[in-house]
Amino acid sequence: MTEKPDNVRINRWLWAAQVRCAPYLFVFPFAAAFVCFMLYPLARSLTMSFQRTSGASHAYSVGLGNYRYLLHDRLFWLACGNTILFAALFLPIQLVLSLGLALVLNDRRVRFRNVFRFAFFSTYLVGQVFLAVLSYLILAPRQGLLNRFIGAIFPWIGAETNWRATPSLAMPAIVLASLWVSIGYAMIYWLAALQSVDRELYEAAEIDGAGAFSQFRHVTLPGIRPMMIFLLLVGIIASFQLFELPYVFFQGPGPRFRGLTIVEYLYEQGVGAGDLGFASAVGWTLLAMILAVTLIQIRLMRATEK
Amino acid sequence: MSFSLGKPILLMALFSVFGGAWLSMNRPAPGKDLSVWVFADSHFREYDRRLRPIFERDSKKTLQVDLIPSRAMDMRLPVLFMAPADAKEVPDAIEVEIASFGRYLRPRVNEVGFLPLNDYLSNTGFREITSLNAPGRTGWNARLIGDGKIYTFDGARWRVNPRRARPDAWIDRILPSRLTAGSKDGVIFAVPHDVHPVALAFRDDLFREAGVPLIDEHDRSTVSSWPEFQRKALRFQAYWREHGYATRHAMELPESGADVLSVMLLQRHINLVDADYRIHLNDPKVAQTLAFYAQLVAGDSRIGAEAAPGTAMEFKDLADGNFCAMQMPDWNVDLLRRFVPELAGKLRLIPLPRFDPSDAPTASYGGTLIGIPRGTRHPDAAWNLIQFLYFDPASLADRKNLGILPPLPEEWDNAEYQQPDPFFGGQKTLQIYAQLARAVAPVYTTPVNVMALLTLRYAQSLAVQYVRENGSRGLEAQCQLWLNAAAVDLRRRIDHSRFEGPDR
Repeated sequence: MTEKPDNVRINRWLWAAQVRCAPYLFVFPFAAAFVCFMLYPLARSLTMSFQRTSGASHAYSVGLGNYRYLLHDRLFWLACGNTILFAALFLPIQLVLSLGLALVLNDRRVRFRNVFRFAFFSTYLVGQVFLAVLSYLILAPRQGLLNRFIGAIFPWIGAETNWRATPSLAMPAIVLASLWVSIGYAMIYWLAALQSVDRELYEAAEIDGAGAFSQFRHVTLPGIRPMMIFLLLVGIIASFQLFELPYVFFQGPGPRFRGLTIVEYLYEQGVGAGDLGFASAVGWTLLAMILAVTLIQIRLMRATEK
Repeated sequence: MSFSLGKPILLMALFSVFGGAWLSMNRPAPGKDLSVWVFADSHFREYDRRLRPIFERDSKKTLQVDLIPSRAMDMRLPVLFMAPADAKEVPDAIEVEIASFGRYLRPRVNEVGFLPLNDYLSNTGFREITSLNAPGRTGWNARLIGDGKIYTFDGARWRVNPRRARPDAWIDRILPSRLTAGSKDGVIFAVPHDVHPVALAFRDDLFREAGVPLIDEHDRSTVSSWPEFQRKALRFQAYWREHGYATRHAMELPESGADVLSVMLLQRHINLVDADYRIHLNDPKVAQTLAFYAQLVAGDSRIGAEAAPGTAMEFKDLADGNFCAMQMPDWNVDLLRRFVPELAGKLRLIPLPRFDPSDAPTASYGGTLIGIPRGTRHPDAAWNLIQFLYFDPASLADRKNLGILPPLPEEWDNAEYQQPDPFFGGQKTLQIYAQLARAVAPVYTTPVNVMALLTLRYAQSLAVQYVRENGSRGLEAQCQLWLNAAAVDLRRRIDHSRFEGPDR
């Protein structure tokens, strides 16, 4: 039995309508959520950054006043300095240690490699807040594991080192805690990169008489370079977003504000003092900083590649 | 008819369309008549398990108690205050930690997210007496239930007072120094749950063994001033050093926070910023106190150490004798009993030493306020709920059992507050706290309180380092310089942060 011509036309029209509309219909839920929960808040926060606010409902324009105040605020620059210091201390150590670990665990002579890989990676599974609580228990005066250890090995230092109150120890404490949690994470990326390096290159280098160090320098490093760029970029962005760990560890900005990061500064202004307009200005400034650092880094990488 | 993207996708699309329609048409189960948000676990347990059934039985209204941790409350409340006036999910009453309350006082008075409570406080909670033999205190005004007349207590007896139209209401009965924390420009937005006076708890066993008793045979304090306490503490430490206890310190004195220092300043009636945004951070008394505190925690005259973080480790330090005295607000006593029962009988309480005779022997530390959000649809019922949760006999009994003083001084005269406490060697702890509570200085909350405290903390850290490197010579003058600079910085922050519309 054949369909009537009218039915065929209707079916064709329906088919064509589906083909035209279906992509939009399927994109619609995401687009609606994106507009409501991303685009609108972003636009709102941009306008609020030019206002003095009390909550989100009471506001009046101050032009560039928030940005002007921000750029002259000593605490903001201190927060920037702390954040940059964290990145400068944390990233090189993290990259070197995790690469070393990956090299060891990539060696086929090591037994139970998968167990070790999981063990080192598992620290990454704990959240930042949990890490902060764990850290302050480990670093507690007298009763903390690390202080007890220091007291036993170096009796003249004693077990009363106050990591949370000594300005010079504030950043090392945060870096130590961050390293503990993130070395395994970076190691997994390095392992993936190491396993993608062509084995034939090592064989060729060996035939040419290259030693282990030469092989590492001339074969491995160029092979894992893209991963290094990726880890650096991700690490810098994560460093600029550092918040929960120092905030919970110090229960505030730390001794003499040495634990104050840019995001914590933002949080204190927005939630602590209820000034969402100023906090928005901090947020947009942070975005500009991350963008600038990332662009500079990409440029530098390209320049060195050439 | 066929679907161009395949049947699975068609099924998913249909499922989401029908599912969405079903969800939007099905209303959630009807809520309770009233709801209250609390931030403290202990309050949640008390309200939800014990008080809710009584309230529901007496008021014939159902009550929802929601526990929202402090940090989450800090995020949710500002969002709540942004919600439209007819929003459905607005609770009827909200408890806020006293240190967090200032941030909600940032808007102009008529735009604060909480309802003004002055009228409720002035028109409810009238004091009543059943006979003229009822106990009283000078100045109290009460209505005699028998004849409906107003009587005033003159110190000896109740006398009829024809000039007074009505008896004392809640606003007269609540400790005045506790009403300031929830107020702005004279408008009261929140009612206090407690007073939280601070005493000095110490290891009587260890101080006695060192030959430095801090109380006499009548349980009276032998320490009148902080310098005197420091001298005794140094003798105490010297004794224990001779006996091999290198890390036995006289008192818990934090270096990472300024909480103990803040209590000392409140003893001296100093709020770092007052209700009118006047800065007292650079008051000479602050410099003096800061300098003194710094040499309590560093240098040759050091008598303190920072406790390990967290209540459990802090109390373990006390039990281990790593530090042997600490500032003890009333809410900490019950925790102490539960965490370190092995300290039973070894501890004693005394009023805080002072700097000057004009200082108070205590100050308050922490606290809870309750308010009614403007968006509530049942303000009167919410007020009745607050009265029940805070002032009903069942609620007062619960607080007494936890060793917490309610903000109603008249309650403190009751016999239940005069009982000896075996944990503190038979001392009448509630009575001690009640005596101290009458001397608690007012606490003011503003949006810049947090910043002011952080600034003090910064100066404290500088002062401690100064003592470590240079001793205490010239310290007070140096502290004054730091505090002057900090006050200028704080003034700039207040001027920037203070919200006043263009129509100011």
